[in-house]
Amino acid sequence: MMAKGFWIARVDVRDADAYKNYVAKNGRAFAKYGGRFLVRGGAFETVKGEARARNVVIEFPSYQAALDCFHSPEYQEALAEQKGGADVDLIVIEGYEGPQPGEG
Amino acid sequence: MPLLPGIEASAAALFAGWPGALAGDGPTAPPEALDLCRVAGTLWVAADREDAPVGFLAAGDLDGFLHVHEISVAREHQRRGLGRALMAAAIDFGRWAFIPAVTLTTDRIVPWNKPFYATLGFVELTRDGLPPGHAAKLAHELDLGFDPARRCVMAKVL
Repeated sequence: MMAKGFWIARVDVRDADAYKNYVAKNGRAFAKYGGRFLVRGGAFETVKGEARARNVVIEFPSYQAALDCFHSPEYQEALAEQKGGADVDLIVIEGYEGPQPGEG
Repeated sequence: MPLLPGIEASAAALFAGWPGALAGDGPTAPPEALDLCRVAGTLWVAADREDAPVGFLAAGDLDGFLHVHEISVAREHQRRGLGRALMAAAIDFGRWAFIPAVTLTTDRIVPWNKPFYATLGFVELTRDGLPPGHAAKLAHELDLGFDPARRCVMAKVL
């Protein structure tokens, strides 16, 4: 089975108005590429290092789909709405399918 | 998606004992309107244990607010908190997306209409000063035959 792909994003919003327009549009790209929110906000504690206020993990059917989503015209159009309204750390990463601790 | 209009029709059957609350056998939401909500990420579906849809909430932008176009729970699945859960999902999304308020149009008297939404923190808006999209929607509903004395616009500030 093909490994899934993920976005891991950490965001500090600086301009809520600009960011709001981005959020209103990005669902279109996520829907097209099969993105599903595994984490969207939610309670968290910073137990080590630095954190940002908004945290997101989005699952895609494959690593390639996760990359394609970011580069899609739909997502780039949404992203243009941010207009520097947020500080964002975002990685697109391949899922892990190997053995888990305590198994086998 | 193809099952959602059936849910809406099933839910609407409950209005049979409430003359004036509905405009006759109003049509269910057109599939293309629901699909617009789906691709925008503002269609929420409640499913049973077999993953069959039993309720949905379809919303979209109206005057910069998150407007609930339709919320329906199939008749045999009502009174279990699904409507409340669907609305909670929409409210949660609205807060996440920095949307200032969730809005809807509804009937003032039917218990699972205005009185239900009031328990969720929605308040009725006066007709004077409604934003243009909401004023147009209300006018359209009255044209369809909804009772002007009972139809109202409600909003929950997020």
